[in-house]
Amino acid sequence: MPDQPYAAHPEVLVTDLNDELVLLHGVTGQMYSLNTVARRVWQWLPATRAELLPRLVEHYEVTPEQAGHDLEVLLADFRRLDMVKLS
Amino acid sequence: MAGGARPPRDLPPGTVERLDFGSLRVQVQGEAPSAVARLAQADWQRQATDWPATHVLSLSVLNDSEAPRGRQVLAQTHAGPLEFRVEGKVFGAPGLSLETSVHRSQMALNDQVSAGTLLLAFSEVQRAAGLLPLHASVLHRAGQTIAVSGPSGAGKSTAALRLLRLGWHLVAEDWAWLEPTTLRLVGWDSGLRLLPESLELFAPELLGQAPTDAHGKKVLNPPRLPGVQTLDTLYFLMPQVSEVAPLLPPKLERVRAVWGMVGVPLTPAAREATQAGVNRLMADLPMEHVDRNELVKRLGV
Repeated sequence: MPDQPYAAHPEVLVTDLNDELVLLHGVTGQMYSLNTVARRVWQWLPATRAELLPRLVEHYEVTPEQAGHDLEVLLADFRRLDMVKLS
Repeated sequence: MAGGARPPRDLPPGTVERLDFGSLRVQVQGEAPSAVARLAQADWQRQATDWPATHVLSLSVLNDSEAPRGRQVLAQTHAGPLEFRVEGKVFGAPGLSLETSVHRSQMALNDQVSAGTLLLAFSEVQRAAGLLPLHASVLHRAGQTIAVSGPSGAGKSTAALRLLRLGWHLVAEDWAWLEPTTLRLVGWDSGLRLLPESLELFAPELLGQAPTDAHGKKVLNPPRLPGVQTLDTLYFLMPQVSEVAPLLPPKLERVRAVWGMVGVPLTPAAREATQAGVNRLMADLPMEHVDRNELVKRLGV
C-alpha cells in the first residue's frame, strides 16, 4: 500500500495555548490536548509517514526504530479519533 | 426574519442592482438581484465602524441552476438550523455560492437565497476578514465593557437584564463582532429576549408592556449603546445545576467555551482566521467561568 499523506481533518479546530496545542473536533465535539512530540508532528502535516519519520529522528535524537514505533502509535491515535484524513 | 424566509419579491424578476458599501472589515462591491441586494444593504450595515476594510466581497448574479455540491453540513444560526454544502473552498446553499480567501471573497446570488443563508454567508466573509462573532451579551458601564457568554439557557439575557437595572448599558443582546487584535467590538443585534418567569422575577412592572415572540419569550427593547467599545473581560456563565457535566481542566474548559461562543467556521479561509483570532483571545483577554448570581453581585457594586 503506498504511503499516503496524512492531513488534518478539515473539521478540526486548533487552539494554540503556547505550552499546549488543543484540538477540538467540530463535528464530534471531542477535545484533545497534544504533548510536545504530538504537537510537533501535527504541525508537520500534511506529510507521509516516510516524510515524518526522519524529521522525528532528527528532532528528538531517537533511534529510527523507536521513532517508527512512536509514530505508528500516534498516527493510529489521530486516525482513531478522526483528527486526520489520508489524502 | 425566519431562516427559511426569502427576500421580498415586490420587484420585477430579473432586476439587478449595483452595490458598493463598507460593512465592518469588508468592502462589498458588485451586483445582485434587486430584492437580495436591498436585503443585504439593510442587514449588513446594522452599525457603522471606523474599521478599515481589509477584504473585498465581490457580488454577482448566480446563473447556475445546479444544486449545491459537496459535504452536507447543518449549521445552528441565529435564524435557526440551516443546511448547506461545502466543497473545498466553496460554500453552497440554495440560491448562493460563496468562495472565501484571506483578502477577497466571491459571492454569487439569486432570488432563491433565504435571509438566514445570506446572513450566514455574510458571517463567513467577516470571519475570513479576521473578525470574530461573539454569541454573548455585551454591556458597558463607566468605561468598562464586558461580554457574558454561556450555553443556551444559562441565563445570559437574564443576567443582562439584572445588570441593566444596576446601571449597565446594553451593547448587544446575543451578537457582537470583535476585532481580536485590538479587542474592539460592535453590537450587531438589539433587544432582550427573556422567559416570562425571568421578567416576572426581576422586572415584573415590564411584564405587561413586553410583546411575546414566536418562541414564547418576552421582548424588551432597552436603548442600545451604539458605536465601538473595547472589551475588558469575558465571563462564561456556569451551566445550571441540572445540566452540570464533568468539567475539563480549566484551561480546556475555556477553550471549549470560547469556541462555543464564536461558533464553527465553515470555509477554510474563515477557519484559519477564526483559529488565529481565538489564539489571540486566549492569550490577551481576561476570562473566567462564574455563577450568574455571583456575576450580578460582583458587577452590581
